[in-house]
Amino acid sequence: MRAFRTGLIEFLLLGVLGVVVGFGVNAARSRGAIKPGKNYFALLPAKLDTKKSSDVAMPVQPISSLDASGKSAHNTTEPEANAGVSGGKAQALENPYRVISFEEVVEVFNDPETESGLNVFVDARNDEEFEEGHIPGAVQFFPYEADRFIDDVLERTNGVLRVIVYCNGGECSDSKFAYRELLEAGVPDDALFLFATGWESWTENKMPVASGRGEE
Amino acid sequence: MSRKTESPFRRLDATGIPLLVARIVLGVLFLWMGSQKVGHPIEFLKQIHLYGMLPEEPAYFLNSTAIVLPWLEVFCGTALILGIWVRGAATMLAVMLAVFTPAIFLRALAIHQSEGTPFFDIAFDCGCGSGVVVIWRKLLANSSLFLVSLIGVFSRSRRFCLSMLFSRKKPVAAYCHLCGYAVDEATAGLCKECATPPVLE
Repeated sequence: MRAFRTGLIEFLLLGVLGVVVGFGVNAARSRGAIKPGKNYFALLPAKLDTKKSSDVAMPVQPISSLDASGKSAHNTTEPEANAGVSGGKAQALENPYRVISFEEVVEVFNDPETESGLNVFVDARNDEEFEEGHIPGAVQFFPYEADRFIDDVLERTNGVLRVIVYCNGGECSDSKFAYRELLEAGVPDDALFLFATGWESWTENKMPVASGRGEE
Repeated sequence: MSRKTESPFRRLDATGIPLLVARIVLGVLFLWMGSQKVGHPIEFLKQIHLYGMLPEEPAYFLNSTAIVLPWLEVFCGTALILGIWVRGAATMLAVMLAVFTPAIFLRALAIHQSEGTPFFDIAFDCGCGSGVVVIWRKLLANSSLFLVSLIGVFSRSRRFCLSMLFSRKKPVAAYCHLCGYAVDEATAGLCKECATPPVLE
C-alpha cells in the first residue's frame, strides 16, 4: 500500500513537472508557440442573412469563368465549404467561404493582373512544405503562427483584387483557418477566395512550382 | 507461522530483469516519441484535434494537452531509463496508452465506416510521433506496451534502478532465498513476503 502511495506521489510530481516545463518552454519559444486560450480551429459561422450573404458571395472583380456568384466547381466534394449561390439560396446562406475551382485558379494565375501583383496567392502550409514548393509568387501565411506572417501578408494584400488562399487540399482545413484569420485581420471579404483542392490539384496538373523563399 | 507459497512471477520479478526490460523498452520508445512532438508542437496540436476528443471551445483543454503531453512522455521515458520514479512514470504511460489506444481505434473505425477502407489497410499519422503508421499494427504495439507498462506499475523490484542510490532507506541486509525480496535490517530475521529467514549476500 505504501509503495502505491509513493507511486501516486511520483505520478503527480511527473504531472506537475510536465505542466511547468511544458508551459515554460512554450512561453520561451520564439517560433511555433501555442497560445493556450486561442481556438486555432474555429471556422467562420454560417451566414444566415440573405442580403448579406449575397453580398459576400459577389466578388468585387469577378473572375471571368465564375458566374456572378463565385460558384464553385467543388460543391459536391466539399459541401460544408459550398460557395454556390446559384445552386439555391438556402445552400448559399450556409456557406461563409467563397470556394473557387482549379480551373478558375489557373485563369487567375494566367491573368496579367497576377503578374502585376493584383492577385495574390496565400499559402497556408508550414515552412517545410512552403519551402519545398508553392505556387509561384505566393506568400506564406501559416495560420497557427499568424503573428509571424500577418504583417507581410497584409502588406502584400493591401489593395489587391483577389486573395486566393490554399493549403494541401484533401482533408486540409488550414486554408479555411487562414481565410478566417485574414478576414479578422482586415483583408476585405469580397477579395478573399478559397482554393479548396489546393496544392494537391496544383501539382497533379503539373502547374509551375517555385521553391525556397528567395524568388518573391 | 504459515508459510506462503512461492510465486514464480515474484521470483522472476525479484531478479529485476522483467522490470529492466520494461524500463528500457518503454523509456527509449517514449523518450524518442516525446522528443519528436516537443520539436513540433503545432503539428501535434493539429493531430490531437483530429481525434475530436477534446472541445475546441474553450481552447485551453486542447492547447494545454498539446503543450504538456510531449513533455510528460519525455520525462516518463527519462525516468524509466534512469530508474527513478519508476512506478509513477509507468502508471502515467499506462494511463496515456489506455486513453489513446481506444481513441486511435475509434478514429480508424470512423475512417473505415465513412470511407469504406478495409480496417487492416487503414494508415494515418496517429500523432504518436512515429509518422504515418498502419493502424492495426499500431494498436497491437500499443496494447503490448500497455501490458509492459503494467510490469512497471506492479513490479516490486528496484534492482538496476538509479533510485536505489538515492534511497534514504538503510542498505539492504539480505535477500530472501525463496522469493528474492530485499530484507532490510529492521525486518531481518524473517522475509515479509514468505516468512522465511533471509540468506545474507
